[in-house]
Amino acid sequence: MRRTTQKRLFVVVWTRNEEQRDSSKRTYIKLHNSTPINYNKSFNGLEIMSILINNLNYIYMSETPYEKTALSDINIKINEGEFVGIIGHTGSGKSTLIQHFNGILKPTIGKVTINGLDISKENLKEIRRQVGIVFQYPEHQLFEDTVYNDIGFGLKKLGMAREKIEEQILSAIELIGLDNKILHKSPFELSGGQKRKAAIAGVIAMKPKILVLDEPAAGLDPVGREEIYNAIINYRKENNATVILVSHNMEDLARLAQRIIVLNEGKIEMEGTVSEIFKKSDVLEKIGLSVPQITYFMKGLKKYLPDINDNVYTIKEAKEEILNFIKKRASI
Amino acid sequence: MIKNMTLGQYLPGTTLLHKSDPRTKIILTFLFMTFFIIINKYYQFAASILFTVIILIGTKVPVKYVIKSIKPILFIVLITGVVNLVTTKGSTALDLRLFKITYEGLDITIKMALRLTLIMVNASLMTLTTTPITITDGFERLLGGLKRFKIPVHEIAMMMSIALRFIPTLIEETDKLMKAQASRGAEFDQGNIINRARSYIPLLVPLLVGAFRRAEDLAMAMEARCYKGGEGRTRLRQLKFTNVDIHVTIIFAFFILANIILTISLK
Repeated sequence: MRRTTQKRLFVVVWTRNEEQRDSSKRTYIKLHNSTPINYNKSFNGLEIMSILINNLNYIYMSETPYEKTALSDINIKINEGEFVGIIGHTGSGKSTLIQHFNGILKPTIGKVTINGLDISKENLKEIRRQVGIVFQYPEHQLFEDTVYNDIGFGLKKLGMAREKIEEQILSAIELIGLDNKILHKSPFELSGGQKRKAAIAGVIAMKPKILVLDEPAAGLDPVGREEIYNAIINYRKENNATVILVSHNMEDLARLAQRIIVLNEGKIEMEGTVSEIFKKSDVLEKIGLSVPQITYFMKGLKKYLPDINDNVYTIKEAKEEILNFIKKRASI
Repeated sequence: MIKNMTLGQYLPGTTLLHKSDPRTKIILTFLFMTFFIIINKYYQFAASILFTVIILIGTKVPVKYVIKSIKPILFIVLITGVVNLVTTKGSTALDLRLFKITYEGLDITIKMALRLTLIMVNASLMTLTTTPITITDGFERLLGGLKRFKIPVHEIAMMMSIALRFIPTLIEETDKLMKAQASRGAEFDQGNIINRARSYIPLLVPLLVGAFRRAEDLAMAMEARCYKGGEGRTRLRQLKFTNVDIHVTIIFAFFILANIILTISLK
C-alpha cells in the first residue's frame, strides 16, 4: 500500500552490531515531506518500524529492598500495520511490557522507540496520541456523565474541535457496534458488554496508529467476543494500524495474529509466525501455556490417520485439511 | 505510577517485640505513655531515652523509620515550644526586648518536646513491630468488655480490618486507573488549583464506583458464608499469651520499677 506522509518521518537504523546499537551512534535518516513511502516493503533494505525495543530491562522499585526484575533483555521489532500477539502466563511481564509502548513506564535500561520517538526523551503527549492502550477490564475506567463524553474524553484532551470530536465518536461507535441511542445514557446504566465496548471505543476514537489491547475480550460472551475482535480487525484494515494483542486465548491468537511473541519470566522465550510458535507445543506447555484445542484434536487424529497434517491452528484450517484428506482418499 | 509506597508502618522481624501478643504491646504502650506524661525530672527523661534507645536497638528497626514517625509531630512541638518560651513567666534567661525567655520557659519547652517525642517513638515502636490487622484484633479483645454496654466492638473491629485489608487494593486500583486515563491523554498535577482538582475526576469517580462494587461483592460473599459476626464466632488468628509476653512485660516492668525506686531514693 502506498501512502505519502505529511510529516517528516524518522527511520531508525537497526543494527545487530553491539557497538553500533549504542544510542550515541544511532543513525537517523530524515525523509522529506512528499517522499512517497511504501509502508510494507523495506526502504533502503530497512523495515519501517512502528515499535522498536532495544535491550529493554525494567526493574520494579529499583534500588530498594523490594527490587524485582520484571523484564530483561527484551528486543522487539514491530512493523507498521502488523498484527502481533503477545502470550505468556500470569506474571510473565506482558502488562509491564505493553506499558512501555506509550511511556507509562520507562525502561530502567534500554530504549523504546515508537515511530522514531524515544519514549524516554520525547513529549509523551505525542506518543500517547499515536499509541492507544486498552487495559484489562477497561470498563472500570468509565467515569463521565454520558457515554458520549466518556468516549470523547481523550479527543477533548487533544484539543480537537467539537465537530471533529463528534465525527470521531460516531465512527468509533459504529466500528465497535454500539447503538447511537446509548450515547446520551450514563455509562453506568449499560450492560457489561456495552460498557466494555464503550471503553474500547474511547481509545479507538483517538485513531491511534498503534492499538494495544490487553485481554480485550476477557469475560465476555462469544457474541461480544466476536464483535470486539471484528472491530479490531476492521479498525486495523481501515487505518493501516499496528495492532498488538495480549491474550491467554490461543484460539483467538491463532486466527488473528500474524506473529506471536512468547514471554516467560520477563524474557522473550520465542518469537515467530503462528505456525512456528504452535509447532513447539512442548516448549509452550513447559512454560504453562498451550496450543489451540483444535491442534490437540488434529494431533489425536494423526494417531489414527498418520498421513494427515497436524500443523493446523484454526478450526477453518482443520476443516479444509480434513475435507482435503477425505477427497484425497476417495480419489485413491 | 505510585512508587515505593510503604503500607502502614509494619516492618517484618523476629525480635521479642515482634513475637509478643498485640495486647501486651498495646497495654505496655499505654502504660508507657502515661509514664512519660507523669515524669518531670531530667534524670527520669534521661533514663526513658536510654531505655527507648535500648528497645529500638532490640527491635532492629532502622533509625530512618523512627525519624519518619517523629516528623508529623515536629510542627506541634515547634508551635507549643515557641508559645511556652514566649509566655512563661519567671526569672529571665535572655531578654529579647519584645519578649523575655525565662529559665522556666526553657524548662517547660524542653520537657514538652522530650515528652512528645518519647510518646511518638514508643507508639511507633508498637506499630512498626505489629501488623495493622493484629493491632485491630488486639483492640477487639481488649475492648471486648464494652459489649456489655451495647457497643458493637466486634463490628467496629471488623470494619477496621476490612478497611485496612482494602488499602493496598485501592492503591493498586488507583495506579491502574491513573495509567489508563493517562493513556487517554489525562494529565494530573497541571494547571491551576481548580484544573488540578478537576483533573482528578477521571480518577475519583471510577475509584469510588469500584469501591462500592467491591463492598457489594464482599458483603455478598460474607453473607453467602453465613457471616453474622460477634457472638460465638471463632477466629483464624488466635491471640495467645506466651513466654515472650512474660519476658517483654518483665523488661518493661523492671524499667518502671527502677524508675520509681530511683525517684523515691533521690527525694
